[in-house]
Amino acid sequence: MESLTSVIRQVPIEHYLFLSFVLFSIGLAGVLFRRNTIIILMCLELMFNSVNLLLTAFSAYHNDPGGQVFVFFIMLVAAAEVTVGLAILVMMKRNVDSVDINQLNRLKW
Amino acid sequence: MVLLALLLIPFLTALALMATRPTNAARGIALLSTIASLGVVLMLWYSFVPGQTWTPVQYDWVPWLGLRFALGYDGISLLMLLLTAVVFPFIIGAGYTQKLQHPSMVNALLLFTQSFLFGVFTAQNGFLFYIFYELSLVPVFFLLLYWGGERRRAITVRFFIYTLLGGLMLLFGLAYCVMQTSPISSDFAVLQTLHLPANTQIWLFWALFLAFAIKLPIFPFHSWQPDTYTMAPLQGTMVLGGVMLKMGLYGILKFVFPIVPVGVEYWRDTVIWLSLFGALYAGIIAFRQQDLKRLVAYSSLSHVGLLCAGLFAANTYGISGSLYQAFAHAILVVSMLYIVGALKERTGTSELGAMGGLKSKLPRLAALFFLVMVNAIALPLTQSFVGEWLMFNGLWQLNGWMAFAAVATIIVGAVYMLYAYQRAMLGPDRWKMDMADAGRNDHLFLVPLIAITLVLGFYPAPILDLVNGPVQQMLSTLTALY
Amino acid sequence: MVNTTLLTALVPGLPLLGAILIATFRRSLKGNTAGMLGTLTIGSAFALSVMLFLGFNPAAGPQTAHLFDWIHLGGMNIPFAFQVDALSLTMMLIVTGVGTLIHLYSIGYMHDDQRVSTFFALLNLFTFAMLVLVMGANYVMTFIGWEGVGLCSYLLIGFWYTTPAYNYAARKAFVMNRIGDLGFVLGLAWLFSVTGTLNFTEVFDKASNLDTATLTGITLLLFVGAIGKSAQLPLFTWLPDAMAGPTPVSALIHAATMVTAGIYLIVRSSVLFEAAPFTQDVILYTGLITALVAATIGVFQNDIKKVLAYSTVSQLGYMFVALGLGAYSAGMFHVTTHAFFKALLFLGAGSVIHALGGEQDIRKMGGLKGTIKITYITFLLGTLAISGLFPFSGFFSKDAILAHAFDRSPVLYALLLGGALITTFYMFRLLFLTFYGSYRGDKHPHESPAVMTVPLMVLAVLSVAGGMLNLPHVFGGHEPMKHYLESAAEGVSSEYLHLSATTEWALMGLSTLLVVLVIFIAYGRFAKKATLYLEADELSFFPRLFARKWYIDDLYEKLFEKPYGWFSSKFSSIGEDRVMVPLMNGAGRVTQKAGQVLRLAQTGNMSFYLFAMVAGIIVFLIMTLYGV
Repeated sequence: MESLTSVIRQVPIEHYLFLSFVLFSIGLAGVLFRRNTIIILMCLELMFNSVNLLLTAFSAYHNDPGGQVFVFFIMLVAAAEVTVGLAILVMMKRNVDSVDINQLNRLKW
Repeated sequence: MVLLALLLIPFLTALALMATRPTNAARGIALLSTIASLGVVLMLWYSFVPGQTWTPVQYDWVPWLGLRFALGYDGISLLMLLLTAVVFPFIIGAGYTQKLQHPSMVNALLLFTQSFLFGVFTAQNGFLFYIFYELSLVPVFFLLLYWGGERRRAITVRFFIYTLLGGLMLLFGLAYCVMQTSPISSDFAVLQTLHLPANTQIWLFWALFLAFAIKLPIFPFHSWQPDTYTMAPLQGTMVLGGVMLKMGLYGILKFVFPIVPVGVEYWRDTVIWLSLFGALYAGIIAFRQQDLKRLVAYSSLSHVGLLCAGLFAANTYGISGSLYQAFAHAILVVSMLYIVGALKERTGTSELGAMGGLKSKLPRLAALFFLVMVNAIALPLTQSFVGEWLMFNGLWQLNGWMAFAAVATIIVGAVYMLYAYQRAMLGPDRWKMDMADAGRNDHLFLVPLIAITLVLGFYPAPILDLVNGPVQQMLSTLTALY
Repeated sequence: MVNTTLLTALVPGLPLLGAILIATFRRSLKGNTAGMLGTLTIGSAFALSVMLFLGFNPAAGPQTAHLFDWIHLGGMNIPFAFQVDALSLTMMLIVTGVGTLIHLYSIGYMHDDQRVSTFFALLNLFTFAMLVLVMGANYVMTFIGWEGVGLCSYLLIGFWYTTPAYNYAARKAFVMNRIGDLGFVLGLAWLFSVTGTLNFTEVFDKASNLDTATLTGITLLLFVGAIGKSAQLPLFTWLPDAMAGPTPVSALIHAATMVTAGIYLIVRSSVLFEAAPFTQDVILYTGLITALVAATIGVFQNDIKKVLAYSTVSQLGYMFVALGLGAYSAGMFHVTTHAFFKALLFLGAGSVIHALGGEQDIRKMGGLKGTIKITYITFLLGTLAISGLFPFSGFFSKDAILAHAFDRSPVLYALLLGGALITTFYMFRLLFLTFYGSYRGDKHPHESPAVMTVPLMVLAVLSVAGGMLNLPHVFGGHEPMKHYLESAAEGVSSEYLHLSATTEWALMGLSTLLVVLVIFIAYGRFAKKATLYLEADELSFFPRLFARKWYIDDLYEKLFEKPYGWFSSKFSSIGEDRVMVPLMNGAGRVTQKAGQVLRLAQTGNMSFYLFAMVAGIIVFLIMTLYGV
């Protein structure tokens, strides 16, 4: 049976890098330019996953399972973070009746 | 172990006071504790072999910082311990007439201060010194903040930040020095052997010196002092003026002189002239002060200028005189402030304009005031004279004009002291009400202090012998470094 | 032989003991007890001094009583030690001798005062300090006494502390003395730095190694100290004001003993001064100007004690002239005779004041010679002595100074003789206005008790016969005092008078003739008819100048006192309140302002924060990549 590692290695590393870069950039752009908080959270996830992808790829190329262990870690933390984020989002919806991030502008001066 | 006991006696007593909060017994307990500390210090003094440094307590604490819990003492430390231990029972004792609210808290804070001061004067490690140096500020901060007079918040915060700023400079300088050691260590013994390059020393001097210059304070870093001394509760001012400013002198001797000798050489004239200018400037200001406590604050400023100048003369007479005078000044400030308190208690004011003619009503208190004043204007056979005489000689050997400016302070000092005495005590009796003349408490407080002044003025040898050894040792290393 | 160290230490020790005892038990001492105790201790000190004097052999050199090391540090060793030699013995005898008489007198004079015990405690303390001053074996010991007498002087001038003017006078005296001390201390520091010691014997041994410039500097500084203590120009104005104290104090401190401390200091250091001719000239001219200025002021004073005060300043000027001429023994001789007759005059004045119940204005006296006879006779003898009439003591001591002056320059002689004649004039004016004519006051004069008159009589005898102490050669004497002092002060041995006996006789004849003439003029003006001077404002220019004390007090007030107060106020109101404190507060305000500006970055806009964060990361990344 062909190992997962060799399957991954069949695609050249540049492709992973490129895909990851594109995903990350899309996520970043979303975080920066969208106003809907739900979308911002989703974009954050996108960035996480781009990094995860890269970690997996490098892990395979370097024959080091550590990278893949980290991916699990990150997924775990991301899940926790999303719970908190969504909780905040629910509270926000209840309090200001909107999920527009620009509504959260009271913390100043 | 004795040194640990020295730190722990006041510290534990203070904790106990805070925990149990006795109202009536608080002063008595605190007094007993300070007397016990005095006993311990006297014991140390008795068993002290002149010219030696003892470091009996050494524990590692934070090795990578070079921070070790190392306590010890030499003659100079012992002098400082002695003055702290001698003065504190009186500071606590002043509480019997001051009657502040929450006596257990006040006394606990005072005892914490004493403990930390003992720490400062016994620390043999730079960082440990720094920790105690800043810690000692904390109880005083609360003392000033909760028991101070008018505008206490603003003034206390200002004092605290100003002093902290100096402390920060010290920390920076200290960290810089420690980084140069290998293996990392901040023991005095190691720091003193650092041979930093000359131009480093020239700027590092200010980093190390600034903290102490603010603490003393010398001109132009003194602006916090008059307000703070005036506003602070009497016991707080006694601690600040009597003991805490001596940390500045001690710090200069332990940090500035050994670590940056070239810097000292380079900046010496500047510092001396600043100090002397400050001494005259404050002395002249004191002349027209209306508030007796503020006048004492300025007079302290004037004396301290002279102390600092004497120290920076950096010769046997200058340094020994300055140290001797430090002791005299501690006793002087405490007794002078007590007089201020005693007068305020009787007349309800410390405004000189509102006093006058009190001698007719209070002949014994007037006599005590006068005896304290005799020390203040440094008449021979008082403690101050010995110190000032040595400093004048030390300064003369450096520069005649500096000695001239220094000696001019005895004129200025006589002018404001005698004028203050005249305005407070002399003149026709204009007080309708009855006043109690100095009683048992006042005598118990002032007579021992005056006695110390006269005895050590008449026979200064014990203290001079104490400091002579370490001063000579330091000077010989200094001259070797130049 | 008795233990001389103990004996020596007891001389100042007894007065100190007396002072402490009286001060401690001042409340339980009734009536005259304090006075008796005080007199007894000083009297014992006098007896001890006499014993030491008799047992002292001048040829053996100074004897030192070393008690313990006082300030011992590094190369500085200042022992607490007393030195007994011809000079200190002379001063000891004056201090304790005259002191005993004045103590005795004070028992009567201060009888009614409530704080009589305090008075005697202070007077004893003063005697202690003065004895330390003259007996100290090193300069710092002298300085102990120097400051001690200043302190006692302060306390005794302001003894009646309820009067503000007295307190002011006391403070003025102390501060002016302190200005002198500035010079003294600096001189000592200099001396120590070049010789490494301050013990008299060692300093004088090493003095020959010093160059003239250094010696001139040191001696000038020491002379500044002497100016302050001995009330010479420009620091003399405190002495007349010091008359605020009780009269015995004026007699003891401000006439007989303390004010001569400056002369003692210079005679003691004669080795140094001999080697500094420039300083000697400065001393000479300071003394000369002071003598003349004070004499002119004395003529126009109306307060009996003020006249005597200015005459003291003037006589001290003569002593300094003697020192400036290098005639140390003549100076010391005048110190001695002056102690006798000036103490006598002050005590006499005190007796007059006592008789008149506190009146001090001579315009309200007159005709007292009938009512207070003993006082009158003794006062007359004192006046004759100070006027320098043969054969009273003042004649010999003043003549010695005048002869030395003539030796230097006839002009100097003429000026000094003129000063002496002015002295005669105002002293006889004082005498005649007080005791002659008719009584112009409204009190009932009464003679003082014996306890006051006996000291007057003893001092009168001394004033008359004191000249025998140093009888010059022309009268067949051997100048015993000069020879005695030679062993103590090296400067004395180099004194030499080049005048022939004929010249001396001629000078004496001239001065005697002129003095008698002046007495007659004074008699005509003040005894036959009492010519009273008006208030200063109503006088013509020169008399007004003199009566106004040459405006020196006003000048000092404008030049020093007012500006000092002004500086004190301005340093406080501008230096502190407008510069130093705002500077500190300003630092705080800058921090606050910076915070105000920087907090605007906190817009509250989440997108902006995110954008800023990303931008920051990018910048950081670039920096890391390119290793900036």
